[in-house]
Order: sequence, then structure tokens, then C-alpha cells
Amino acid sequence: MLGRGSATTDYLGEFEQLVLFAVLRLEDASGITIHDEIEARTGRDVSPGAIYTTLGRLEDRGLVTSEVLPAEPGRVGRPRKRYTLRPRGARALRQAYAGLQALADGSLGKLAQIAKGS
Amino acid sequence: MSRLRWLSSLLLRRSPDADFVKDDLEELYTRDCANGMSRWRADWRYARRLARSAFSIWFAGGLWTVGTEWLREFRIDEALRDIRFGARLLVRQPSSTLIAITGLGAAIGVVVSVFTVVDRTMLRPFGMDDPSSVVSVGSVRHHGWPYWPYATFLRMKDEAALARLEASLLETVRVGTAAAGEGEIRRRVLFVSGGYVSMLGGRPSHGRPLAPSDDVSGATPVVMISHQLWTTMLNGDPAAIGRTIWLNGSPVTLVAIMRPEFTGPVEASLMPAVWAPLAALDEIRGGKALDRDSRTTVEVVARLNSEASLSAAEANLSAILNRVQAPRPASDPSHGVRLDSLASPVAGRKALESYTAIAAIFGIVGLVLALACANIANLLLASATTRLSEIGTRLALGASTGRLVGQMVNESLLLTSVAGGLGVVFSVWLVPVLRIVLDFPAEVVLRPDGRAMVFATCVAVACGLGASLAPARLGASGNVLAALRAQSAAAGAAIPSRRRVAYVGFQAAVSVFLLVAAALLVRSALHVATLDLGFDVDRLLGVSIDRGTPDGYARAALDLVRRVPSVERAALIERAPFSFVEEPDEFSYAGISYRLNVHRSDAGFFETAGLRIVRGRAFTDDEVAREAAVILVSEAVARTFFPNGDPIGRTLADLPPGTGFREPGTIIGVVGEAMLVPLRSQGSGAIYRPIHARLNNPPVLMVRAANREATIRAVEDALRRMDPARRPTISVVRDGLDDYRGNARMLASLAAPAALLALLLATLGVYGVTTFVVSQRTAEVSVRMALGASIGDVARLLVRDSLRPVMIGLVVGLAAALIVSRLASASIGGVSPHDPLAIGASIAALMVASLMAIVMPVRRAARTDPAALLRAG
Repeated sequence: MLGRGSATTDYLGEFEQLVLFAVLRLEDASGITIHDEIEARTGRDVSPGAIYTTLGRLEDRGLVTSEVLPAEPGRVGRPRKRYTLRPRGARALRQAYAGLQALADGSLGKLAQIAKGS
Repeated sequence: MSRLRWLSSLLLRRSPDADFVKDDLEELYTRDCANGMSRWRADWRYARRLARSAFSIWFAGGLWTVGTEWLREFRIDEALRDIRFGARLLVRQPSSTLIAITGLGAAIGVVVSVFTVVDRTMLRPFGMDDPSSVVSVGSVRHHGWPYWPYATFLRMKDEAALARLEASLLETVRVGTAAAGEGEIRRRVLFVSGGYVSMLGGRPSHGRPLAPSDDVSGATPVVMISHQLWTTMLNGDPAAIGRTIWLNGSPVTLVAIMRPEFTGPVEASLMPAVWAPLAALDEIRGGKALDRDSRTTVEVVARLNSEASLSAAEANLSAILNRVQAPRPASDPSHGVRLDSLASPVAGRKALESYTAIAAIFGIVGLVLALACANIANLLLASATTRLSEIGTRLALGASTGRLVGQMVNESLLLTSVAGGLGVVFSVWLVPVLRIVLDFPAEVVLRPDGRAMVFATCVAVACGLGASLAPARLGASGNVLAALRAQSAAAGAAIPSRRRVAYVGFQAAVSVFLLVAAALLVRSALHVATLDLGFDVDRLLGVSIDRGTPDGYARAALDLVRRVPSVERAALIERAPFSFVEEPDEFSYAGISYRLNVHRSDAGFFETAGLRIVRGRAFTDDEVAREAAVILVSEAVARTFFPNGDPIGRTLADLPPGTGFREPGTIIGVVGEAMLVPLRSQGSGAIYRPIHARLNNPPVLMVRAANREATIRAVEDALRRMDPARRPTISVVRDGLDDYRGNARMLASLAAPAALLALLLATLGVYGVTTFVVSQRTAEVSVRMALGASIGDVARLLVRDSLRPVMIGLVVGLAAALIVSRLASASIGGVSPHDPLAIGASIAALMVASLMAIVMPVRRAARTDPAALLRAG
């Protein structure tokens, strides 16, 4: 839980949080694996363009790094880009998740009732 | 592989990760196919993912990112960089840049001004509703001339089934705001039938339009006035509606102000200031009131019914005409009605003539514009030549030729855009000057508007693209080594490029062409202005009698007018001087074509007009009454066909036979040369015959008086007392001459400034190129002088090289001018199309200007210290 007076200012959008969590979970986070992870965990079929655009933005902000790997069998002579979460990115993600948790704390039961329609 | 992969290359290219995105899309597609999805469904899914990817890439960063990305996408940021860079380069040569921009700005100003005038007077569709269905109703026999007796118009109007007909009649009246006649001004009034204005869509800005109820006998006379007249005479007061104004001293009620866009199908030069109903014609103009039997000539226009075709309407009106006039066989080709479009001033039968005139006008101003563009091209070419090493370096570093070409084009557009703005400002000043020169009535609203601005923009862009062609080729060559070698060559003794030399030659050719044309027109105008007319035009008035006047009126009027105290003499003639209706006698003799103008008058005409009878005598009254076969001939006829003897007593049978029937006649006198017809119809001489006793059209009463204004009023009063139902029109004969002289003066007034502007631009071009070339040859000059060449030798060399393209251009331009002036000799009255004075003056002007432009930089170069130049390397 973050206390008052935290110095971080990296705010993350909803999709950016999904992508960063996918990068965090995966040992080998590339565009296609992130796509599969998000689809498997959330059921959302996100477009590769949105993933790379978001990763490009996150990289510009210094929250992730990337490296281009040579072609592997299976991708028929094509290189791929692997992404790694940076400490700053980890702090930003932690802060965003903590904020979400703080808001959600104690509200899940009420959320379930509303979702049922009663 | 998806069949849409090619599309991904197009949509994703803006992303730095485009290849990775494409590969992931392809992998997802492969999986879908591997999971049993049909190819079509897999392609559809691929397309959806591709579209969403592209959307994310294009709109990822918000509006600012979108904006900058858009700029980058369309290379606008590159263009802005080129413009900034180009501006910095051009600021380094301020005088050349300023001169080139000012010259092009002046030329664009001229073009935009001419466009404004042509657009307003020839291309705008009169401000009518649905102009495509408005036609003039003309006679086949008179080649579509749309003038009919009023009685015929009424019959056609009543019985026409496929069109609605209306009529008009144009007159000039005195308009005033007070009954006493103070402050009256002369303006044109269009008398119209009741439905004319509403049929054409002439909706007023204030008040109500003329209605059929206004065009009935006994109705209170009401009028509409133009917006211009309302603002000048009535101070634009909206409360003027309902006021009384006076036309020719008759009170009328103002019911509406016409909106300025509506002119009706009238030529710009004849635009009316007042619209009045035909029923008020007798009250305002005088003469007999119109009725169903009136023979007064009116101009007829029509609007076709929505379902009617032109040919069907023509057939319908022709059938009506056949019933109205004496029946003619259907096979008679001269019978019938001809309908011509009035959609715009250039529609219908005048289309070819109008478009030819427009093409000629824009051809001339286009030449001046091309001259100015050549100066811009020379400036850019010189700038590009000094940057050859930069070009070579950029090519070596991988810059594409397209990028370099784009830079040249952007720099050119920068110059021409600034010049275009300057031209628009200049045109605001020039358009009113053109109005004065062309003598358009005040009702013609002439000012640069939105269409002129769009035209100016297009002209500036076209000039920018055209002027960039040559410098762009430097960048487009793409040859690195050639660029670097050319720069090093330019650093040494350069030879002028063929392009720059060609530009100078082109400018010289166009300049001399326009100078010759202007000189011929100026000579013609001066000739016409100082021409001895051979008769006393300053004292003559013409009294025109309306058709339908009973026989005997003319002679009774003559007797009455002769008794008016201020009248010195009076006589009758069939056609007034400078009338456009002529009676020629044409024949060939010894391989030469001759044209004699035949004039028919009474015995007193020669004294009345002040014609000199140099030999023999004039007709007697008895000979005129008998229509005796006696004639007088002009001095030219006597000199040409009776050179060795006295023509008195000879007959017209002694002349070569003409192309038509020639009435017999015995020569009783010789008259001094007189210009009674327009100059272009002067021909080879004149024959004077007694006036016919019975005429198809009333004769003209010629009146000689010292005090024209007083005599006009006195004659009007006398004729009104003789027959109050008629009021003949009295005109000043000199006005007809001034109209003709005005045309020649107008052409000269337009051509001379254009030619002088062309000469100035060419001189600037020659100066600019010579300065540049001389600066490039300073090393050569210094070496020559160090080796012993004198200043004179060096100067002669440079002048000779610089003058060569000017001479070539002069020869080409002169040849073109001689050909065109021969073809257009009819427009150059009184002057030979190969007038040596005009041609000599044009050549001299170009040579003097070119020499001045060449000598100045050459002198500077010749005075430099060769040792200092060599040390400077």
C-alpha cells in the first residue's frame, strides 16, 4: 500500500496494465505471446497493432525494454521482439494495482449483488 | 498466408513495428486455419484484426500526435522545412529575389485583373434563374437577330405553346431626382414587357418587381433602378421605395431596387440603370404609345417550358410567324425563327467569337506571365547551381531524387505564393483602372472576388510548378559525381547553361512581339485621333426617325427644322455617318479588289456636312426629286479610274463591272475625301447618289448647327409641336466617331502597358542572367586580363555572348509579330501591319533595354583588379 507523499507519477491505463501484467507473467514476452496470454486470462481478442502500439508507448516512457531476437524455427525466417519489465514499470504497475485494490476493498460482495440484479 | 497481407503493408507502414504486427497477424491467421476455420472466415478475421491494428497505430497518441503524424505522413513537415530553408537562401540575394517577386506579382496582378473583367462581363450567367432555358428569339432571315415589330411579338407571345416570350427595348434617358431637371444624368433604361423581370428571375433587394399589371395602357408609370444608381443618386436610402424620380422630365414612381447580381441578358457595356414597363415608353421617351399594331422594334427573349426542346419551340414559333407574316413555302431557308441560348454572355451564336476573344486576351497576358515566370526560373536555377555540391553530398548520403525535386518545387512555390499575394493586392488597384479604360457603365460591378482569389491561387501554383521545372531537373538527375563535377566546374570558368540562355531568348521574343503589337495599336489610335475626316463633324446632329412613321414625315420635318433659328443647314441622307449599315460596290480591276461606299442624300447634304466639291457640282433638288441618274464620285475614284482626263460627263459604265447590280449614273462632280463610314470599311472611295423617293427605312435628318445643345432642344420642341405623337431621337454625330476612336484608344491603352511590362520583365531577366554569368566568369576574366587582354576586349566578349540569345529571341519574336499583325490587320485601322516606324521602334526599345542590362554588370566585371581576383582564387 502506498502512503501519502509517494513520488511516482506514471499513471497507467487499463489496457496498459493488462499488457504489463502479461509481460510480467511471461518468461518470453513478445507480441503473439502477450496476445495469447491476455486472450486466455481475460477472453479479450486484442489486435496485435494495439499491443505493439501500447508496448511502444510504454517503452518510450521507460517502463519496459525490448530486444530483437533472431528468427526461430516456426516463424519461418522472421525475427521477433521480446519485452522485459523495467523497475520503473514494475513500480507503476504496483501502484496502479494497489490503487485498484484500495478502491475495491470491501466492495466485492456488493459488486456481486449488483451483478446478480438484486 | 492471408490474401490480405498486401493490405497490411499499406495500412501499417506508419508503425515502427509494422513487420512484427504483420507477422503476428499472419500467425493468428495460420492458427485460425489450422483450427479448421474456413479460408473466408479466417480472412475476415484477419481483416478485422488488421483494421483494429491500423486504427490503434493511427490514433494511438491523441490529437497532437495525430496532427504531427499527419504532417509527417503527407510530408508537410518536410515542405515547411524546405520553405524555411529556401527563404533563408533567398534572403541572401535580396535584390534579385525582390525584383523577381515584384515582376511576377505585377504579371499576376494583370492576369487576375483581366480575369475579373472577363469573368464579370463574359462568363457570369447574368444572374438569371435557370439560365439554360433562356433563349433569344431571332429571325433566320436576319441571322438570328432578335428584333421584331411589337405587333409580331404580341402574336407570338399569345400563341406560343412551348415557351414564354417577353420583350425589351433599350433607350438612353435623362434621370433626375427633381422635376426641374437639376443634376440630371444620362443612363440607359430598359423598357420591358410586364413579365420580363419575373420570368428571368430579377428579384429586387428592396421593393417589388415589375408586374404585368404595370405594363398596361393607363397604368401609373413605375420603375426599378439598379443597385449602383440607388447608392449614387439616392444615397442607398431604403426609404426611397415609393419616391418619385424623373425620366426625361416625366415623373415615375420607384417600386424596387434591383439586386446587383442580376443584369438580365444584356451586354456588360449596355447594362441598364433603370427598368420600366413598355407601356410607359411614350410617356418617357415620347412617340406613339405601343398597341397591338405597333411596328416599333423590340428585342424578344423567351424561357422554354420545362418539357420543350429547342427545335420543337423553334418549329412552334416558326409556324406562328408564318401565320403572322406573308406565308412562305416551308422549303424557304430564310423563313422561320431561330432560338439561341442566353445562358451566359458567351453562349449561343456569339460563343465562337467570344471564346476567341477570351483566348486572345489571355494569350497576351499569359505571355507576360510567362516572362515573369522565366525570371523566377532563372533565379532558382542560379540558386540551385551554387548549391550543386550540397546536392551531390545529399545524394551521396542517400537522399532520394524525389526529395530533392520536392525541395526545388517547394522553394519555387514559396516565391510564387508571395508574388501571388502581391498580385492580388495589385489587382485591387488595377481593376478600377481597367474599368475606366474599357468604359464600362457604373452598373457593372468590377472587383476581385472569391473566384478571382481562387484563380490567383491556381495561377501562383501553376507558375511555381512551371518555374521549378528546370531547377528540379538538377535535383532529379540523381547523378552524384556529375553534381560534384558540375559544382567544381561552376567554380571555374562557367559557360551559361542552355536553359538560362533559352529563357533569355524566350523573354526577348515575347517582348518584341508585344512591343510590335502595342506600337501598331498606338499608331492606329493616333492615326484615328488625328484623321482628317473630310467633313465638319463637330457641327452635325443626326435626327433618327422611328420606323412606322408615315411617308412625308421626314420631308415635313426637314422643312420645319430648316426654319429653326439656330439651324444653319439641314438635309436628308439614307444612313447616318459611322452607321454600321453600308452599301458597298465591290469589283476587281487589274488584280486589285476595290470597294466603293455608296451614299444616298438630297441636294443639300454636301453643304450641310461641309463636304468639299472640288470639281463640277452637286445634285439639284429637281434631280433628287426625279431620282435622276447623276452621281458624284470621291477624289480617289477620279484619280484611280480617270487619271488622265476629266471624270465629269463620264459614266459608271466606265468602271469595271461590280459583283452586284450597279445602277447607271453620269458623273457631275468630284467630292473631297471624307470618312463617312468606320475606318475599317473605308475602302477605295465613295459614290454619292440622289436619295430614293420611297425608302424601306426612314432617312436620317442631318442638321448643322454651331450650338449643339441649344439646337437639340429647339429641334425637339419644333418636332413635338409638328406631331406630338412622335419624338425622333437626336444624336451628336461626333459621339459615333468617339465610340469608334474609343475602341482604338482602348486597345492601345491595354496593349501599351502590357508591352512595357513585358519589356521591363525581359530587361530584368537579361540583367539577372548577365550578372550571374559574369560573376561565374570572373576567373576567366582575370586570366584574360592578366594575359594582356584590354578592358575593351573583355567587355566586347562578354557583351557579345550575352547579346546572342537576345538577338535570336528578337528574330523569332519579330517573325511571329509580322505574321500575326498581317492576320489581324483589320484591327489596326489606318496603319500598315508592317509599319516600319512601329517595328523599328520596338526593335530599338528592346536593344537599348538589353544593352543597358548587359553593360552594367560587364562594366563592373571589367573594372575589377585581375591580380586581386587571381589571388582570391
